[in-house]
Amino acid sequence: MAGSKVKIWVGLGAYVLASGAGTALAQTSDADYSLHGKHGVQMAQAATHGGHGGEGGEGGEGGEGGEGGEAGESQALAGLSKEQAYLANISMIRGHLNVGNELYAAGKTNDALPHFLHPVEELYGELKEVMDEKKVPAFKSDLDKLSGMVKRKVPAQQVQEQTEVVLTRLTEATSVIPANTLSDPAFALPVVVGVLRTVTDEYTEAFEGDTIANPVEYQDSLGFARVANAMVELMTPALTTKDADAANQLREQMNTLLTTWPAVTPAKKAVRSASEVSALVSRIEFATARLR
Amino acid sequence: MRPLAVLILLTALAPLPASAGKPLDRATASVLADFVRPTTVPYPDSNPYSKAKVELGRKLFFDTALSGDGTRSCATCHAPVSGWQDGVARHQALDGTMLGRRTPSAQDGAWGELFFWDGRAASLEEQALGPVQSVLEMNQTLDGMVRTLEAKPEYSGLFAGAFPENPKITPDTVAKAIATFERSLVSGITPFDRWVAGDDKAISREAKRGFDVFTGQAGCVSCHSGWQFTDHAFHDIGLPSDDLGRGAIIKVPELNHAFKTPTLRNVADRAPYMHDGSIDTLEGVVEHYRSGIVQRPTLSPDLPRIDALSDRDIKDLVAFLHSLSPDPATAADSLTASAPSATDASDTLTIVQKNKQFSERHVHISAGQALTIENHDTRAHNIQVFSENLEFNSGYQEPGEHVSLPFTQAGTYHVFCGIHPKMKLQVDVK
Repeated sequence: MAGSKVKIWVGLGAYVLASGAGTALAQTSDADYSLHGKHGVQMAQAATHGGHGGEGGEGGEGGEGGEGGEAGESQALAGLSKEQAYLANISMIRGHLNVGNELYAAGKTNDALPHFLHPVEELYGELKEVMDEKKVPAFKSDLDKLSGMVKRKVPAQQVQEQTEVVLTRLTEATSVIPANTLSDPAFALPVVVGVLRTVTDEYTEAFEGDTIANPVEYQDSLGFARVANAMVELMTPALTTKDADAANQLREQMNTLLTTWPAVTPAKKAVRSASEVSALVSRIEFATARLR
Repeated sequence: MRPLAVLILLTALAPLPASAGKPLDRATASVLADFVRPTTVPYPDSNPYSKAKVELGRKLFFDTALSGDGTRSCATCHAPVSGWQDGVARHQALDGTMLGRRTPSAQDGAWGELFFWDGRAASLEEQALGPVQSVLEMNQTLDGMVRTLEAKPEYSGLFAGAFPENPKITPDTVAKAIATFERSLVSGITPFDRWVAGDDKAISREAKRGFDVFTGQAGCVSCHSGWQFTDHAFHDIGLPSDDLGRGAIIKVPELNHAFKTPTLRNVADRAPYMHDGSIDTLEGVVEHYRSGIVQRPTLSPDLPRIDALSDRDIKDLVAFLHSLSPDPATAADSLTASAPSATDASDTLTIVQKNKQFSERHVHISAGQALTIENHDTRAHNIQVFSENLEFNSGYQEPGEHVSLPFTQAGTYHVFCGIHPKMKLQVDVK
């Protein structure tokens, strides 16, 4: 959706301005990194064929529980610390809002609806423990207000404005984790991996046989992949300092992964099979091992 | 519902009438939604329904050629006139002794999970050949069974019709045919079903109080849950017996003495009761739970809490259990309820959403029929289909609302909830 940019809150205290699905590495040189208000780094990408917007990775929905009924079914976040899982879940909210806003801006309000409901139904409850521990102000009412606006099908501009409010709440919620921890690859890369494992789970769930039958799962996986990619992009300076070759390899593979989703609305015939995406994610996970 | 939609609850060929009498209040209707009778009979992909297969299975089920000495058929113990059981505590074995356990009913097996009282068979197909080979029951070898059937000329055409791709008489095809027939044995419509469907006058006041006891104070529903009144699980209910049941099958001592929870549909007509047929009356069953339980470490934690029930509670409970017997007009449905879909003759098939689940996971309808999905849940849903022939998105489906999906072309469709990813429904349209 070139020309229709959607702001996406990225993990680690920054957000990405992006549009649609697309490539990461090829566009990096075009990326406009600039400070954007109090939220931190903004990456504006003029995508040539859709453009991607990364968001902070969340951890698998399957690992969340809540009303979505997916609790415990995915091991995507297994092995993460409480804080890492917290960040992963926040990131998944961002992933939902990313694709939700893109669909809503495109006039696909019914298609957008699940992505505004999932954060409340599936994810918010997973944040509660850390929020209570770290005294993070509750923001469920902001999420409810946003989903209520989508239900009422208010103008897209209003939805984006309320999304900004929620994104600010997410930034506040993220800020309880020290900045030097958030930017530490040893902390953040496992979160990326958790998010990407969730991408695999969601993408797999999108299929019935060889064809895409569940666009919601497809879009979930897209939003989460974008978030994971944005986290990698934000860590790139630190990763490059540590091992430039490995960092470049990681970004190349993320770039390849993102081409799995040529558009936010899927075609019946997918670009990649679920097993191909799983294999890609495994290679990315392997690449991160050198960078932790 | 908003807008009002008539809830259709039906068996394969016996649809429930639309609500009659005073409608249920909302709270009661919500509780009863867990007991909605399914609208279609599930058949596995590995052994799909066909009329020819049912008819072959029916003939085999009643054929004494399946026994070694030619004197017994499946129906010898699973007799239609006795609710597809035999009406005795334990059937007499071929050697003159008594079998160890009561004959379970063959009805409603289509919804079963594991078969035999101890769950040692994973499918109806597997179960079907068990008694055939039992030396105490039918004492036939599988080779002997095949040879005997091959010698009967009428079977050649029947197997060809039922299994056109592999018309051979084999243990596998025999088992599949019998299992398909057994899946067509659906218990009839009961007054309780009609109450669930919205007819407030379908059951007596005593039975309604009994239902409250059943689901509330006594906690019977912990095991006897859902429309079949079984959790399909295994429990030690404290009967005095050395039979180790499920524990012996899976070698888990904690499950010693545990047996499968039986259905309560038609329970008033299924005496004697328990896996060993040791209790003659429903009152006796209640009394067992009140005073007869043998204390041992393997007792189910889900045993009912009967101690504090008053005599009136027990009478009400029994009245409720009697409401689970089919209406006379539908009592013979089990012989005719053989189609995979209950709704071939209807314009609409209706299912419900409750507790983040569809009431069905797989339905069959005809092209031109609509599928109506009623939200009986406490939360909103979002019904979607994304296929070549149909793309559908309901938007926000509030509790109490229903959506209708038009299926105009044959094919397989995958319906899902955009909000609750585990809610999936397959629709096969012919």
